[in-house]
Amino acid sequence: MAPELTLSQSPAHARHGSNIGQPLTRRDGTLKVKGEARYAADNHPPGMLYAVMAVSSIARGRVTSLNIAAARSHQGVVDVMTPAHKPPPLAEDPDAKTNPFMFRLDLLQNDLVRYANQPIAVVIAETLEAATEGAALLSPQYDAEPARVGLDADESFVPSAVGVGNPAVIQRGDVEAGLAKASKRIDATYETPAQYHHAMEPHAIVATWDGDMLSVDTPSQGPQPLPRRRLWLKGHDLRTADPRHHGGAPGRQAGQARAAP
Amino acid sequence: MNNFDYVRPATIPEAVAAASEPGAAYLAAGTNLLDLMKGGIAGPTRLVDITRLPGLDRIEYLADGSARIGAMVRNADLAHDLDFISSYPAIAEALLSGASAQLRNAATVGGNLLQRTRCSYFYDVASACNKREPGAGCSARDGENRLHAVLGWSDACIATHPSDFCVPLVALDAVAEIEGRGGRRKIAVEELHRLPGDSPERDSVLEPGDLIVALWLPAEARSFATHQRYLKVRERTSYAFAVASAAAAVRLEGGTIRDARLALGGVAAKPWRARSAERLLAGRNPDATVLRATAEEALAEAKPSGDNQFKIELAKRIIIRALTLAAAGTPERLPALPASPFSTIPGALHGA
Repeated sequence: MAPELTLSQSPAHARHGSNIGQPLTRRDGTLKVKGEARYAADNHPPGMLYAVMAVSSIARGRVTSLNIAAARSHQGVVDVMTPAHKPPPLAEDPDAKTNPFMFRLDLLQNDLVRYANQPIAVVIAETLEAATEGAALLSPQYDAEPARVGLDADESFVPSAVGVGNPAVIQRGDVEAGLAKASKRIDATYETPAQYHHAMEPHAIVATWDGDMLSVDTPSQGPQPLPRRRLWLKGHDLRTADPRHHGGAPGRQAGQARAAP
Repeated sequence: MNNFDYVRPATIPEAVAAASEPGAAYLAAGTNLLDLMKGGIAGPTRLVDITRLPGLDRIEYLADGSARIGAMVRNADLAHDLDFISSYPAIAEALLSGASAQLRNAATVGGNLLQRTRCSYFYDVASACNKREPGAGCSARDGENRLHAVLGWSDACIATHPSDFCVPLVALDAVAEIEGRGGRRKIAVEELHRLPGDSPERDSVLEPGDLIVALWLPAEARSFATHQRYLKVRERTSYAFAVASAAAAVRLEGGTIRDARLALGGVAAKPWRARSAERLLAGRNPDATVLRATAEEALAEAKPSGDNQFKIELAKRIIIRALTLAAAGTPERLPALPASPFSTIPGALHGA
């Protein structure tokens, strides 16, 4: 039942025709308040398996070995996906940046480690506990390289363009001359730690095959461009869940594919 | 996978016997231990559940003025006990400044005493940590160490003790009552925790099987009830450990300090009792000069263990503020922001 839209006319709520500041009922508001809203992770289709990512404990380098046999032999573990499982070729190169709002993706396309806790394998099992234990049993070995952190750690990377075709470098005037002439100069370093959004719904993906049809239920602000091009799913149909329910939140842009391998 | 045994003894002697085996650990509320087990930092082979042992959850006020608090008393129950608040307000304030309401409802007195450091390298199994693994090294020395120790540290370990509760306990000469393989004994809380030296893997002087059964507050602690505070500086006002904290208590005659108690938190692997600083206050009026000298004395041996030089001055200032507020008198009601140093008018503005 769609809730009524009764816009308050009181001066405190008037917002030049927009809905900001208006007391509106969310479409799923009642369900969420009652604890009855179904999130992606609430779906447990029959026979559902659990996938747990093994992540790197180094920040840069390469994975040289994974004890796949140990993980596979743990009771309940069904399979272990590693870069060896990638069927060539992927529909699109995950390292290519085809739109300006994309991030490079880690889809087990190679054995490189680019950041601490990067996914390096996925263990699939009948229970969450078995998958977690399987991930621990992989005992990855690495060739570690020194991590490059900080703005001054290395040469700057200058992309060919930023945003939507804007130049990466813009120079105007003579900053050094201006600073030298200024009556007051402030030289200070400001730091802020990484900041994270915490949406109420945890990230999750539930994928179900029905014949040739793959259904993917996942919180996403823009489901359509998401998986089809990245997955090797040519010829299969893809259905994604109604986005109205999951809502928008930072971290849910279409460009950040949470596509299961 | 760490396959562990779980036993639930019915009596204290059974518990001590079960926990005396190598690899055994006591389990009360588990608000620290379970995190450590899930994170792979602790891997006991046997958990000895003491939550059903009889007689460990009472708060008793004895005729001689002392108090005996059972080790299974929950932090929240102790902090909200009206008699306890009126006799030991700084301890109640310290309890309420720690953790979150949910954690305080579950966590026990014994567990609070024995909780382990929250050093992020202790918690990161990919990092080198001498406390977790003797001889492995200390990643904190060259890492993010703003919040690490400035007193009592060694090259092997620079971690701090995270408890707020323990700081006023040490200031007020609290005693832990312990049942062990050799029977019952008492250890001053001030002597319970160890400095790291070259064996940081041992947090306390307890032997295998030792079970804290109760906490004692001596009769003399009551005489400080009207002039005591606990102040805690932290990076946010809620649900965060101390960067530096101080428990201060004074007995006044006129405007002069007859006797003072002072302990620091967040600066060392154990709460730091500042006895030589206390002696400087005896017989003095707590004016700015005296307080500053006291603070200097309390931190006289302090040395930065990393990027934490600032903590030494911060600790001095929190001492000055805590002593000032203690001398002004315990507030009528516990502040709504317990242990916050930012109240401008002592004891006024807001109440709990």
